[in-house]
Amino acid sequence: MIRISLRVIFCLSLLLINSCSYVWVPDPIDPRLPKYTEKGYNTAGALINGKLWKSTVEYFLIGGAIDVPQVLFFPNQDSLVVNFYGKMDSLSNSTVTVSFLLKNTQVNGWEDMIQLKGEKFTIDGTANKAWVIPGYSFYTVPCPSSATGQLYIKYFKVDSTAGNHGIIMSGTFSLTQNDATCGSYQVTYGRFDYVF
Amino acid sequence: MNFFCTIFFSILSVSCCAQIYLFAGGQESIVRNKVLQGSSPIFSSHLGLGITMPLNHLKKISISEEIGFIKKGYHQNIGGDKFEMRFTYFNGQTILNYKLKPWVSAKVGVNYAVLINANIKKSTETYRPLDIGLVGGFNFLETKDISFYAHVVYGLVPMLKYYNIDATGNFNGTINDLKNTCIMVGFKIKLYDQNKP
Repeated sequence: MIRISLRVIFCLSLLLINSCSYVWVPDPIDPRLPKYTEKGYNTAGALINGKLWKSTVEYFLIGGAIDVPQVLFFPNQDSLVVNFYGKMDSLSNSTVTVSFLLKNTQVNGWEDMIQLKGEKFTIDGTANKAWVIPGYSFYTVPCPSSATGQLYIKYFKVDSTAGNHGIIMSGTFSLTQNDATCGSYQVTYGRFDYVF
Repeated sequence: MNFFCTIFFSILSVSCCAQIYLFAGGQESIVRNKVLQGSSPIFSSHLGLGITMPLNHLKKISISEEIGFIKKGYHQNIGGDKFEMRFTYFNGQTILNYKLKPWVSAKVGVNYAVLINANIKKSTETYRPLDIGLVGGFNFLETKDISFYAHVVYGLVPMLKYYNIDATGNFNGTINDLKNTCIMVGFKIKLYDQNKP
């Protein structure tokens, strides 16, 4: 009986892990990139200086996960931070963070996030900022100057069966950064489809 | 599926002066498009079963119905990275044959194919499941037990319906593109001929 229960628990755990991990569907026009989807496939991709940057969220049985995106709320400052983590295909194991700081969103928590559906944020370097940061960056931004570009949250769905917060968020982004500390990056064809 | 096909062809073969044949061959699969960078054709195979039924009053004309499997697709070389897209279709053709000479007949018809598999994840979410095209070509030595054919299938339905996303991330309508063209050659082996004793 105990054996059967353990087996069931093991199988259920595997199922749970698989359901959270990424699905990489290649873009039909440029198969280096993930296809733009609105299914919660837990992937993102972009061309950074013409090379593939890809984010594929994976959860592990023993614990831990990689490339899990972050949304941080700062209600006192009326700002929101969105971090995407991924790796450059051209450099083995080299994580690059794409970070957005959005002001005046009037989003204080996950319950307000639906307001962002269809919003196209212009990253101008003053109100809305963004950075391309080599390595993992959680709360601190080591680059003095912000990038310019765009973040478009095209799709937003509340789905109680998905993720911790039951939210699927998809969209696109592009950035141009010229920074002495963090480097010069041209981010094009960015797209994401994450479960939060 | 095999059971229904067997029944279908058995009934037809009894009801008219039919010929049943197996066909197999290869094709160059080309995807006509305006959106893919660095695409090139692939070479693949097809296999199927067909029946030809002569029309009683018109001696030179016959109708063929064929079903089978075909692989279509393309290669793509983009930024030095190479990709191969292969799509397997369940395929049907309705063809009108016109005997030009005792050893050659011209054929025209319609091809309809259903996407059943691909080497791409979630392919049915990206590509249209139905492909319809026109067929034109020639049959050679049809009176023999082994005959040959060459024909072109010119796809009319775009395989792809997808967002047109620019480098910045703006959506500019949709892309309806990627039409199949297959240049096919192969042979037929006659399995049954009602005219033969």
